[in-house]
Amino acid sequence: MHNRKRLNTFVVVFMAIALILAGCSSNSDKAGSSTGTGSEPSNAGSASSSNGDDPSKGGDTDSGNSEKRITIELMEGGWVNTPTDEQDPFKKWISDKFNVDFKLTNIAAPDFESKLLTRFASEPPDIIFSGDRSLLQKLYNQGVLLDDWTPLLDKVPTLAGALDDAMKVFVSQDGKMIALPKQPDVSNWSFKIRKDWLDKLSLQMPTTDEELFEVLKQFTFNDPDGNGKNDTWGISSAGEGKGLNVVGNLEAMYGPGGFSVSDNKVDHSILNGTHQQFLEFMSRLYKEKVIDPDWYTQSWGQKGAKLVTDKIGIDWYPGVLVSEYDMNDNGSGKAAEMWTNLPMPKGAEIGGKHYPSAPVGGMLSISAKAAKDPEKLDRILRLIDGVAYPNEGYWALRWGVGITDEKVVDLDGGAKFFSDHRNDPDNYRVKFPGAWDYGTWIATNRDGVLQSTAKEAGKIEQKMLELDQQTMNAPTYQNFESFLQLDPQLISDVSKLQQQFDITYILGKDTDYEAFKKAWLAAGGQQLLDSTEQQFKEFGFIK
Amino acid sequence: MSERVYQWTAASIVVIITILSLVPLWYVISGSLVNEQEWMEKGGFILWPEKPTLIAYERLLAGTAFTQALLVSLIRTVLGTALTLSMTTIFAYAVSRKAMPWRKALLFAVLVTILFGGGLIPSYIVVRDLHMLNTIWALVIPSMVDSWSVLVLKQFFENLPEEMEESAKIDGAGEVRLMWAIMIPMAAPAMAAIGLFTAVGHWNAWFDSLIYIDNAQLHPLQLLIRNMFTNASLSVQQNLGQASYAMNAHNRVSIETLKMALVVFGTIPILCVYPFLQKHFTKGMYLGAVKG
Amino acid sequence: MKHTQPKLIIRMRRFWFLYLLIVPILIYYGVMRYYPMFLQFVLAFKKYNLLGGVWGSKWVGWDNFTYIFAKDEFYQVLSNTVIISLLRLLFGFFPPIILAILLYDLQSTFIRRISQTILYIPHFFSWVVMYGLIFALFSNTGLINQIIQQFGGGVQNFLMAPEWFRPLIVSSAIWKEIGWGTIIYMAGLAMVDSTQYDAAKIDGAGPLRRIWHITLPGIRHVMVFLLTLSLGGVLSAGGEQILLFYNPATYSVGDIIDTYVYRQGLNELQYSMATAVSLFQSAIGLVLILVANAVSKRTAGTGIW
Repeated sequence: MHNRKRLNTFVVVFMAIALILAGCSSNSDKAGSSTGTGSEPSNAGSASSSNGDDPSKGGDTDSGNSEKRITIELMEGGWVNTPTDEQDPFKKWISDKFNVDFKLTNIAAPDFESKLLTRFASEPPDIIFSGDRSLLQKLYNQGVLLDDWTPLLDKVPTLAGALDDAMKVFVSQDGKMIALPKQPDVSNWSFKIRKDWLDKLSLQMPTTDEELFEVLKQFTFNDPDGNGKNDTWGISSAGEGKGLNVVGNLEAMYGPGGFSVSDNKVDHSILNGTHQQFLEFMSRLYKEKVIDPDWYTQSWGQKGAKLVTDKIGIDWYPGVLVSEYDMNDNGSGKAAEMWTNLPMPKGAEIGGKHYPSAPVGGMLSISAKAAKDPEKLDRILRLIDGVAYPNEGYWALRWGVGITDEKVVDLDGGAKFFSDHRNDPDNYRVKFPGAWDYGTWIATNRDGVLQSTAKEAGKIEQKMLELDQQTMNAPTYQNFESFLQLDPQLISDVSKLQQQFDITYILGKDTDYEAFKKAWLAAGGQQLLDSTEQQFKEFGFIK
Repeated sequence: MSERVYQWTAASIVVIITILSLVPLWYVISGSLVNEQEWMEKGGFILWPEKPTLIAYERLLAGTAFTQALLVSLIRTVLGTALTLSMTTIFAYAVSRKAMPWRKALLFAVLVTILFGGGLIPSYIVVRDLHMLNTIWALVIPSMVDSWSVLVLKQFFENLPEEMEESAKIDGAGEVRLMWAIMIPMAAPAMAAIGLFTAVGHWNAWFDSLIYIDNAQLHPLQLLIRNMFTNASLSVQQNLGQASYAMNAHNRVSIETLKMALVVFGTIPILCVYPFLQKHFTKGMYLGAVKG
Repeated sequence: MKHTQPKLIIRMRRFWFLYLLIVPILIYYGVMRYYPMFLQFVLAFKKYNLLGGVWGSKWVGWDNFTYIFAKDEFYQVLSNTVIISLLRLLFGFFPPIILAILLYDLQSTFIRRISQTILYIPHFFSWVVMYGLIFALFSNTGLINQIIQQFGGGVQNFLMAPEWFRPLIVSSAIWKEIGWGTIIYMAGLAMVDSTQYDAAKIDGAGPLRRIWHITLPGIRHVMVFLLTLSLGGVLSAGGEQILLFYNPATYSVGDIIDTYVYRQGLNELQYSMATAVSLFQSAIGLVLILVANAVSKRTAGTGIW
């Protein structure tokens, strides 16, 4: 009798302990176990583990035991778009953490729509990530996407917490959220200038458009790199035959771009003189030959080559320019003294600021088919929130923390440093760079990470951070356009007209700006204005 | 014009055009052998790499799922060419028989398919319903008979001298033996040409695998190349730094060079196939004629 | 009425073996070509809806067509397409033939063998690669302009000038395809009875006369055939190449139907409209081929059938 009682007590106590242990370890499993890095995933990370109302799911060490293993497929246009192999540790990590067989399908952007059309004719992907709102709208209007994200927001607390009004408006249609936007990167792009060239020619940092023009002339004709060859230009661009590309940012000297509000009325840069002044400036650049002759047709890589071989004095780039130059300079470190920010010069009263950042950093959408299955939907939401910044999953999937042996290290001042193991032939992402695409759909530069080949943050890295920080704090125009929903066909039509006129004006072949204005209005500009006016009134930008 | 002048003129023209044809290959090969610094310095057309390096090729062979894609391309090309050549030849022969009833109707039906296609969605639906999605058959069956090749081959069959056919029949050949023993061997040069076209078509194809195949293990080489080459929007460019870091493993080869190396890989194998088929072209020239 | 030919069944019976052989091919055509073609034809008159599939999509009659044709811009685009196609045909048709004949007649087998391996190379490179090369050569800081400047000339803006666009398109297309184009003619030449040449030489005929009287007639069928077929593509003037070469500075001369369509129809799934345009291009192509076929039968005595 004694024995039986003792046995019973023992069993009860044993089970109690087992339950408690199981409960604790599953929590710690999900709440940011140490991965040997300096990064600190916030406590929000643990929110990914439970929906609060399903204890059976929280009761395992291996989150897989009590729930079905499911497959989730994400389709996106990645950075690299090459496949990985069966040993893919990222896929394995997702499988272990979420009990999900994750399929990442990467399609190059021009083929994206074709691929989606065929997939929706049979097996739609579960999740789609894209930066193209009109594509998602088209699909949504066909009824093949999740109807409304609004009621689901509390299931994705991390992602929902990052939403602001502009983002919500961007994805709204008839009061519903048709997609879940990702936070946009804070733009770290600005004009960079060769400080050493300024110094050599005893010039001051230009603050107006005229001063800028003078500097460009001297950069082009006065051999600022001192190599005795006439092989430099003031500024360049990478139009690739499609448009003005980065040199178009010069328009910001004269005022905000596109639609805005002034004097309580709708305004547009084409109509109020801003665009005209810009074109005038560009045509002078072209006429005086202070711009790289291939600015309109060359590719990004081709311009990049000129930047790092001392052929260009000013360009629109993020701070990483310093690092790219340094890489070509055999890591001498001199680049840190060469490039610096050029604050936007002022060409007009209303000018001199940066354009606002993009409204979103891409959007996630779930197919209607996947959304119909409540368990699958649940698992999808859990997954996407689990890997969202700043949760632990983000650091793993984006930077490889805990998956490969790469680390993210904290620096003073809040920034972080990532040394990529690019010289390590055994590193998985060196062998299969397609694995970087696990990060494409979650990446944000708000994570403050500086990526570099250097082992630790030296002079170059510090300079990069400094320049980026400066740029991110520069004054910007108020953001009006991202609140607008305008007819994409009209936009395409007026854009084509504008692109044609822009280049012919710059080349000096057609300088009748008034005729262009009229044509622009007739081709759809007037309709766009009217639509904008109505929307601005709705938002209260116009009383 | 005398024979000599003619020969010299012909030779000069041929040599000039040959050199011009060599230019793209030169461009791609020398571009694939430069290290990053040299690329940055010279850009564009590199006449001669100062410090040639094989790093780009090492990188490609080491990973990036390149070898798998290469294998898929090879299988698809061999399988597809064998299938297509046999089917196309048989059909072309059949419709070249002037006495065969329904011939003109068939020819018209074939002509229509050259101009009118199935389009993206209908083709996909058919392939899906035949359960060929994600299999090698989706890359090989939809293009099994090439209408253009059928018409061309038919043309060649028709142009074969009639005396040959007649003398074979006098010797007692029925339709079957006529086809196997006489006509097809005679049309060997034309078949070699069609075989080459088909093989090249398979080697270069990427769109069908884009829509029919989801399994990355079954993607052919050209799709891989296309994915790498396509840099779409500025936002992708902004992250191109990422990709360029990613691809740029040893920090000494620019992404443009890697692309060139990939192009070289995408082209060299098929160039090697040609010499084998070449002898079939010349075979006909020495075959001699049927003495009337 | 008496038929001079034996009855149909009897005629067919002679070819029973061939009919048997082509059965799988006929099935193939029916299932994999004609059935999708039929669906596609239907889709050109509907507004394709993902959920409805082909049959569930709404019937819109000619709307897909009028959407494109009603725009003023279309006629500029149509004229660009036709002009560029005709230029390609005019300048691109003969070079491969001439080259093939020269190759065939070349006494030096050494040169011929080497050339034949090399000539096809440009065909294998995609337009993306070829454009990269063209850019390296013709850009404002490229090789050609460097040479021009060496000789004291001014920089020519080849890639952005409307006057250079079409010549550049046509000549780069010839460069890319001339070698490949010789293959089919070489095959044809290989099948011409070579004793005719020997006989002609004995008779004292010079090279040009031989070409005119023996070689060209020998491949006449192939020439006419290829010319006729290429008329079918007049309304599709090489979209992939143009998409790479053109830019807003050259839209006025370079924008063709395919590139134009690529930019239109952004509100709905573009699919139905693109299908309608493609149908239009193909229909015109078919008509052209049939007309050309009739003409060539009358003049050259040969046609597609």
